[in-house]
Amino acid sequence: MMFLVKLLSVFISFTICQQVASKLPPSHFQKSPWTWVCRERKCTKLDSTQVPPTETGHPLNVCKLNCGEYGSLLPKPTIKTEIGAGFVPFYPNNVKFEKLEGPSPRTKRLLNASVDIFKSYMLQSVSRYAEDGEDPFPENSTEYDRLSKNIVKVSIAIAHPFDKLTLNTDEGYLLSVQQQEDGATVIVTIQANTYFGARHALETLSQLIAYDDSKNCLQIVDRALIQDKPIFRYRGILLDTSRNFIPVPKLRRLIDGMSYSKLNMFHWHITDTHSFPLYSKSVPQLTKYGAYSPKQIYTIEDIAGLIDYATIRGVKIVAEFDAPAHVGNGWQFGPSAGKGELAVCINQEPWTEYCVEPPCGQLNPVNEEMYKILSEVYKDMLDVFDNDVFHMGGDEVNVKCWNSSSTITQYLTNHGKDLSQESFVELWGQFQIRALKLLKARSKDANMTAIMWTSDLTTKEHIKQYLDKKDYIIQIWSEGRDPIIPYLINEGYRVIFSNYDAWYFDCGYGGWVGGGPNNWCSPYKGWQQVYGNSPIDIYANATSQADANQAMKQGLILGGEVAMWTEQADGSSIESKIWPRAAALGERLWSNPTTDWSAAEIRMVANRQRLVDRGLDADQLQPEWCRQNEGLCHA
Amino acid sequence: MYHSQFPIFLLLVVVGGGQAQTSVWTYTCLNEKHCQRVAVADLPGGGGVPLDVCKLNCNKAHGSLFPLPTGQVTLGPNTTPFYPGYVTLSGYDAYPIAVRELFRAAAGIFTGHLNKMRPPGGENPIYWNRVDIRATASDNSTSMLTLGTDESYTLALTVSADGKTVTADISAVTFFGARHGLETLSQLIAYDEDLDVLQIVNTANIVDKPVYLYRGLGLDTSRNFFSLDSIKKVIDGLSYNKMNIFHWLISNSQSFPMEVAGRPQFTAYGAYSKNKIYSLANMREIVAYAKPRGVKIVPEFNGPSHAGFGWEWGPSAGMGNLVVCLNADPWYDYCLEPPCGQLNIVNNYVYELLGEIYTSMLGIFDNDLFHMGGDEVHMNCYNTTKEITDWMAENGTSTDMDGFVSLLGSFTSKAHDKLVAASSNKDITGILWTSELTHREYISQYLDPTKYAIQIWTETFHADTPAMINDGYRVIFSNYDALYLDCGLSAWVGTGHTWCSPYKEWQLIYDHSPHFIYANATNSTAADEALADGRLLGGEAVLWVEQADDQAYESRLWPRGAALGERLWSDPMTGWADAEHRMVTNRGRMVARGIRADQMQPEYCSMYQNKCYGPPPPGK
Repeated sequence: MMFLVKLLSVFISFTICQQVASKLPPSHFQKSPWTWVCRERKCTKLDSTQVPPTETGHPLNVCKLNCGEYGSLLPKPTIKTEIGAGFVPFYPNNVKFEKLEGPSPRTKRLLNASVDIFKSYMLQSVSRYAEDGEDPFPENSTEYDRLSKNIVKVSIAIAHPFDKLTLNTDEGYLLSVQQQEDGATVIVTIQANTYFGARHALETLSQLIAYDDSKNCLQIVDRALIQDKPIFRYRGILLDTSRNFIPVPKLRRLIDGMSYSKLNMFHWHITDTHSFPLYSKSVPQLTKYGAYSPKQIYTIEDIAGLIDYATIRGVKIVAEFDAPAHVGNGWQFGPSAGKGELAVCINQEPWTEYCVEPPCGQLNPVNEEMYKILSEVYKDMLDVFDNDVFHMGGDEVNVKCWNSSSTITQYLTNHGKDLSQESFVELWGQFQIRALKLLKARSKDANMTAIMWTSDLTTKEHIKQYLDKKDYIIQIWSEGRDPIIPYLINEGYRVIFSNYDAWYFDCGYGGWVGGGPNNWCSPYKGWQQVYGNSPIDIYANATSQADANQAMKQGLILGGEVAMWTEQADGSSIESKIWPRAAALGERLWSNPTTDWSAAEIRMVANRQRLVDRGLDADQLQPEWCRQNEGLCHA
Repeated sequence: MYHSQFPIFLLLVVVGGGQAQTSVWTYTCLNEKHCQRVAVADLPGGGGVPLDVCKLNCNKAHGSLFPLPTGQVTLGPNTTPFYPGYVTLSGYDAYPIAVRELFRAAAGIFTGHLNKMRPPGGENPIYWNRVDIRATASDNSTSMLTLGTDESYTLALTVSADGKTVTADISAVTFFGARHGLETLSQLIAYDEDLDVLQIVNTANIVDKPVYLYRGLGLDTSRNFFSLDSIKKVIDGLSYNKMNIFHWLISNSQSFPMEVAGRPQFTAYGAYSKNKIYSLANMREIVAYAKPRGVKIVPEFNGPSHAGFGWEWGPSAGMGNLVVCLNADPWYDYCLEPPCGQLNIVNNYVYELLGEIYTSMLGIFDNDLFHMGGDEVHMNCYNTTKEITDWMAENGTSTDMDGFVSLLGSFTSKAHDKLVAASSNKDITGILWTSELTHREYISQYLDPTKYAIQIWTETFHADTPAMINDGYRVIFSNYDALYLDCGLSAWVGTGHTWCSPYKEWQLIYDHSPHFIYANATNSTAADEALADGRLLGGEAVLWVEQADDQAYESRLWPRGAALGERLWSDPMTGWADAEHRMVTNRGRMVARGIRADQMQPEYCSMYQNKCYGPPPPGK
């Protein structure tokens, strides 16, 4: 009986949809000869006159919703995934958010903002709407009134009032979709411990809905039960805004993209030797001298706005102030301000002698004034960014640079040191100890954790002397096979993987100094490689599966991050360089799949189209033919 | 870059709030060569200018002109400030209407650039100076751009004694030369952010003409569809770099997005969707858009291979199989990438339909140059298709390479006959990709050099290349190992990287000289002759789009396409290193005009123009 009712209701909605379609301009609804049926977990393109009576054809996007174990969900859920075989058509205005239970006013505000974003997804799924901003759905027509009977009722319950995303936030959720016996009502319930879990659930829900271009309405799967939580807690993207400035609207779009893929950490490499675009309230000279131009500055308001924008989207901004190397422009004002040289070898020539790329520059670790200013920079940043995690950089210190400064060599000599590599590493180590103290003194969170890049300071010889594992998380950028990786984890350090041989997105272009076909980390890291880079496997291969499981249990393998260094990218091209590759990272870190990229290919391609529909300039992976002919673009 | 559209006083308000506002930096010209950032405090007597103004004429030899003019260049040291509203263009009002309209459109594009650099708004009367531009062409008999069109121009800039009027005199043989003159003039103008005004170099003499006739970019719109807006932006980019050919690879086996007059089946079956079709009106719109920008559209209809979807309706229309091996599986036995498909060259309906397609296309595109494709025909596809092998047996055609090439030769010749029949110009040239048919042992047997030009996509030093030039064929260089812009990404079928990896960096493209390549195989006198008699037509960078569409094509095309633009316009004796600063400046100019060209370097490198040099070679 229930089956009959259901069948009838689907039939009625189908008819209504078609009537609606006929009212619209013919150019938009010329009939395509093609339709898709789900066969062997693949949407198969058929001439619509040739669909056997035992099967039902759907538009491609609708077919993809429930064809295959995970439909077009990306990242795939980790605990339970059940998706029904049918669809319920509806108009976006008929999604009713009935109960939005947030345990605090702030949680409620976040939730309301999330609901608005969810509503915009439904409209963005219609490409025509995305292009010209025109609402494609008809109103004030009798057909519209009749289809209005189909209603999707959503209720969301959040248990705890956490409203800051930390490395310990529970991001899990339970999502249920159920068409009711009346055939016209779909009940959606979302349960999560935190706001962040709830917003992930809405993200998943949006991937169970598609625009039906043959009928001009949306379709939602008739049933789903999804229980989900991430495998890794740190799922990040680094963006460098110093080599080239990236305008704030582009940063917002980056965060948009992260939210679609349930990535949760935007690591903002905000300054470097090249430019200092961060507005420093306490030391404005840094910005004045260091910004590429007065137009290329991130103001405090910009940053605060971005943090709020990111929080709503389930993304934490992890700020980096890289030191003592990777500083330079901005720090020139010392001598004229009577503070001595705050940094040395700024723009020094020939650069090849003093740094890894032009321009050179390193903080002057023997100048007391430098520490005062560093402390002010930390204060400025911690006034606006979260205080629980902070990236201190710490990579690529060049001994020759410090050795070229008579102030520094004099200091070492005065302190009875020779000018050996070891003396300079010790000088660096002392700098780091002091910098951490300054940072902690400025932090409102007593348990502030610092992140550091792998470097000469994180080697077996030095790390324990200078970097306490209680204080530091180590971000690994060396190769995946670097023996430092198992060493660090074995020693109990928490780590984030960014091994350049899989997760650096700037690789594969020509040289930007001196030409040549390949920049240093070439070739290009394809999405397949990004997907295949498993932190757990890397560690397990160096130790054992049991050790890896143990390290996961202990929370030592925090997760991973791809890096978009911007020597050869800016606002014109970062989006297509980051997406859809970073979505592959999203699944690697959320789901830690045991299958390889080929099992994810169809969903990756479907997801890429979703990114584009939502306005991201994601790169194209394949001819559209492959998206329309699933499984035929095999090797 | 999006900020630069706002006048400075607005920016102060936006940044406001006591935060950093005015720059502590300014720019000076070092050694009449490099612009370098200096602290304002270090120039007590003043003398610094904004970076963009510095770049106009700091380098005395050529400023930041791109591509490099080939004749005399004299740039004065001074600039005159002005507002876009005080610019007049004249000289062409009495020309025949077709040519006059091209001039008017080009003038509108020119003033559009100026208005974008400095939108209308509050003015300071002391900068109320005039810029009077006179653009003329001595031959106004045709509005068609052909490979014989004279694209030369001269540009003279003078300033009146009172300094209040700058006069620009652009004198050319044709409209197409004159529009290049306007392009050059636009590169002698920059926005002065200190004074919120435009600055123009106020004395200059430039004599210029291109070295190669054919300076192109190819874009495939079949593997993935491109919107009309995207195609127009490609044409914009070409025009900024004085490139004159847009090779439109309009259909392929994956999709058939092109409307064919009277045959709606092609797009109904072949287009990716009803929204992904180029209608006849759309294509006319593109042709009309390209012309005032000095760009000719060379359309390609590829056959007999690279045809598939869109042709499958033959049996139901009573025409038999129009296409064979369609979607054959496993694809790698029958074609080079999925999906497979080749025209059924033994079915006469195929030729009739080709004739209809050519007629439809030549009703829109120029009738002097047409790309017939002809690449990557898969022998095994034909040798495993009974209909074809039966025909071959009947006609005594062997199934070896000789037989296969004779099949190709016969197809090409029949197709060319249809092309000539469809064209009002009986001297229409068909362009063919290099293939088995163009191998040196076969080419002269099947292809008449007066009827065909050859586009070379084989590796740079392939032995067929000098052979065909020696034999009198006109050639276009598109060697995949330098000029394929799709290389370097990860594979789209299977793992690893794409077949033509690595990425072709702009430096490689810049140094890719057809003249040098031919001279290397022969001698420079022979190369000079081949250039003079038009056998070295030029070159074309190609973006195949298995892995690109509206979202990502621009950063693949640009600024690398511009590097080819200079190579083909100027064919400089010097290599990329001497062009680097101008390339970077030109990239910034393209971005300011709305082209999302990829970034080449940290912005730092354009502020300290001589600092981003490479490390010494190993061992030195």
